Amino acid sequence: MPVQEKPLYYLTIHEAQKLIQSHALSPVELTRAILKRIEATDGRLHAYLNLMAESALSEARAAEAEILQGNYRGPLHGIPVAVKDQLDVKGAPALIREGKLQVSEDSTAVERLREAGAVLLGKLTMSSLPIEPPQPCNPWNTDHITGGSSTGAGAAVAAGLCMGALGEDTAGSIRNPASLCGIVGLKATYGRVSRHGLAPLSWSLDHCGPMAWTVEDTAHMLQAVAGYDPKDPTSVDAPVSDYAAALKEDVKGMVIGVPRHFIEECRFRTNPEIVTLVDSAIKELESLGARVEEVTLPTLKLATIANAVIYYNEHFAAHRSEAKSVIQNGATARRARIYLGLLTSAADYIQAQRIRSRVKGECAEVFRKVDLLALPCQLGPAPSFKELDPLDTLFKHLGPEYHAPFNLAGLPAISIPCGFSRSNLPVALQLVGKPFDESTILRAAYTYQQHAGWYEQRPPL
Amino acid sequence: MEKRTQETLKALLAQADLEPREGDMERFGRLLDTYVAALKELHSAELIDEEIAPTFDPRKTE
Repeated sequence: MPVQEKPLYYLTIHEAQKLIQSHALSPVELTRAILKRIEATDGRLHAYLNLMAESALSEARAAEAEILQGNYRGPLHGIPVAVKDQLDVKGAPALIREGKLQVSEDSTAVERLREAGAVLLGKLTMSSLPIEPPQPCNPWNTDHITGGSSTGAGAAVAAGLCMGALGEDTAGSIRNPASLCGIVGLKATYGRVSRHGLAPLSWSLDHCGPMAWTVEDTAHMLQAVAGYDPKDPTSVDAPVSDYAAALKEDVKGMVIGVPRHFIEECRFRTNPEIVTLVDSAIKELESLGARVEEVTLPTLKLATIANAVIYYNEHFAAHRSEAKSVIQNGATARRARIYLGLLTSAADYIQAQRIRSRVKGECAEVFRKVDLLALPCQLGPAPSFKELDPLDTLFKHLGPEYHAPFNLAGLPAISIPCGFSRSNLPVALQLVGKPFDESTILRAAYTYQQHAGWYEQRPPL
Repeated sequence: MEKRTQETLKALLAQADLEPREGDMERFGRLLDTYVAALKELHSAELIDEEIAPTFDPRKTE
């Protein structure tokens, strides 16, 4: 759809920034349009936990004044975005931190969004909260879930309730809602985006990253938040590329590895439609000039359980002081996580870390021969609320699946829409890259996106 | 739930000065049994002595 025919809330960041830079669009007008969209639809979608309309309008006015004075900061200047509750926002409540009423400092990622001139609309809901707010609905079919744990971010980006969001991924929590909601979600390399001010689920597995409608928008969001932060002991001082410059429609000569044996190992849990659509996407990348090779990562089948063991054990350590109240008052999945963490011995945790070393080594070996891995990003289309059991996610983590291995290995991984199921729910391709090589992932994802054109379809909401 | 898993969990809860919520042992029985089976599978991996968990480096402050 041509830009001029789109409602403002469905502009991409890339489209809006051009209009804002040329003074053809006011950040205030854009922010008002999105706030109106939230007012009209969030009663059904339940994406926001805390809408900060007043401060957002004030930030939009400040951005507009700055831009009119000739001080344009870059692609996020005047762009309305939102963040998962897990990221601290100064002055806003952090429900994940046991309902802490006000946080006194921005997380580094939020601080960087502000430095880039973004307008902060508010905090988005997520699963694993101490309270149980209404679950966000999938904008493609509101009888279905968004996937978690960045539940609100998936719904908000897909339905035009913000132009981009920051999520967090411990075992798929960015890529899962991205794949189920038909948006792009990038879990950056561990250490690439600061975790300072991110409420911990599992210190060594938590990854912060962007969620947006297109690959360009994801690149703009990543650019704003990537980079070394001395406040985060796990932050890595690695050079940050120009991600927008990496977006060329070109995969010629790129070598894409497909772990076919692992897809087979997951097949008993995977809806066949997913594998068919992902295979078509891989063939499309091949037709665009990439070379596709089968690769073997023998220990990947144990990676999800190793990830789960580390997750539940670190989670228990991080939340030990709250365990009593979680067991008494917490939601089903939160209580279960406490029991699982407690049941994990030191020897189990160490074994999981040893498996982690093995998986990292196998990935490093494969990445000597290939530039990317390509595989599915979900076991099935978004389930309906009726089909759902609160323990489903925990069971998912106890057998082979497609997300957790790359949290365990700390590798960058993107979810990119690659079609729709027969029930008209989104399906995604996952591309995984070498450590700190988000550029190659973005380039391949961009090339695929431009040829496949799935981004042209918005949810019927 | 397997009796041994239930007894282990109850002992660990008591050691941590915690009590299970009423009905949780039954509610989570299948999940906890699946987890214990998955832990066994994890330990079935054949690793060599050099495949170790992250090591301490005295030069690093973190």
